[in-house]
Amino acid sequence: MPESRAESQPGDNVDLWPEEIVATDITPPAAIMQMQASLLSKRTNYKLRGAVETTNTGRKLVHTFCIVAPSLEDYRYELFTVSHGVMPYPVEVTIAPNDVKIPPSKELKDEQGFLDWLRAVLSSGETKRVVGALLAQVKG
Amino acid sequence: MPVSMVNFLFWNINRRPLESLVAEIASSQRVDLLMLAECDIHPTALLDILNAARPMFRYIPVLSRGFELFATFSPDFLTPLYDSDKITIQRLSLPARLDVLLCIVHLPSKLRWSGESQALECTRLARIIREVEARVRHERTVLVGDLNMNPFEAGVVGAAGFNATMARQVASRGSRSVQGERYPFFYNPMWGHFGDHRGNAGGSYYYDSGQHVNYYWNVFDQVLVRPELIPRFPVEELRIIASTPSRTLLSQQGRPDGKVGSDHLPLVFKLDL
Repeated sequence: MPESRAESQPGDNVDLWPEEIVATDITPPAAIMQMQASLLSKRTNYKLRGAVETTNTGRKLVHTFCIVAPSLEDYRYELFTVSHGVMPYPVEVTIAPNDVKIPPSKELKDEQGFLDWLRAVLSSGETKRVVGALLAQVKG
Repeated sequence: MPVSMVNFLFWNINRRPLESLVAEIASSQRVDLLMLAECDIHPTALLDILNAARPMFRYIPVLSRGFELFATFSPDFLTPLYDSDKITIQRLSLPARLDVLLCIVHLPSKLRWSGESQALECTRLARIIREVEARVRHERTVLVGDLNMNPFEAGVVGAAGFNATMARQVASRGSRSVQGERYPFFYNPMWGHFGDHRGNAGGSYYYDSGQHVNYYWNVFDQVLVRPELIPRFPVEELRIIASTPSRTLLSQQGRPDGKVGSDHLPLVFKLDL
């Protein structure tokens, strides 16, 4: 029996997508954290480095920022942890240095809010304590 | 007792000034490594009392804000490998002894974190532990601390969590696979410490929630060991301490007496290294 040819349907070969499909110009939290991790290497003459570890818990992406001392057997200090859903913002703060304020909702609403909070974390007394202690132990 | 036996004490002292009590327990239990959580006592003040009779203890500085460590051996034998406010992972390498990984944890309270969040945190910490084990190329790991969860909760028993089973025979299989992924077991001897059949406390922490489901006694303070350490872990030496030679840590109602000690009871155990 000859194959019956499907009749064209309304909507076939019609591109319903908009003219422009582009990524939003939002920088996701992980990219911001990676940038600061790289900067830590330069700022410490590569004695310390930052590391961003991302895990997927199913509903959320969890990003942990660690300070790593390669010459101390790759010792790691976990500085803070944030998470978010499919959308990069808002960001939820899970773990943070004790001396850095967290909004009561634990949420940082947008990129600017995350940048402001991260600046406070990286310049906090707790971060300085850890970086200072590690640099004092790192050889050379 | 073999001379290779190392004595450990973990205690969440709830920010109380318990230096005399800590020193008394450390002395009576012949503790080699003292691990304190929620400790606001200045290390120098505690060292003064710990060493009042004999200078034995040294302070082990750790970057984690969550713990204070004191040992009868040199700090050089503990190498820090990972720290956060909730966990410190140290390699314990005593001379001519088997080296082990020591993970000391204090997980968030149920007052601030949901059960789901606690379980997810366990999966994250379990992954960190596996990564550190891969770095040191062995799985001789002891996990001890205030988990703020009971041994039967998902974060403790779940494969991707601590994967901790109550039975040595099961743990001795080494690992189990779920969805094609291998998860190493922990043996959790704390299951045997529910209830008052040992004649003292019914757990390590008491909480009367006033809800329909109420355990009253909880075993939040736990020690878990990887299968390779089971033969070196005498279960009969694992105890929740409810009294010292001079006083009881329980109130007249038989609950942890926060006026004398902490809301948690101390945990002691030994390892034959």
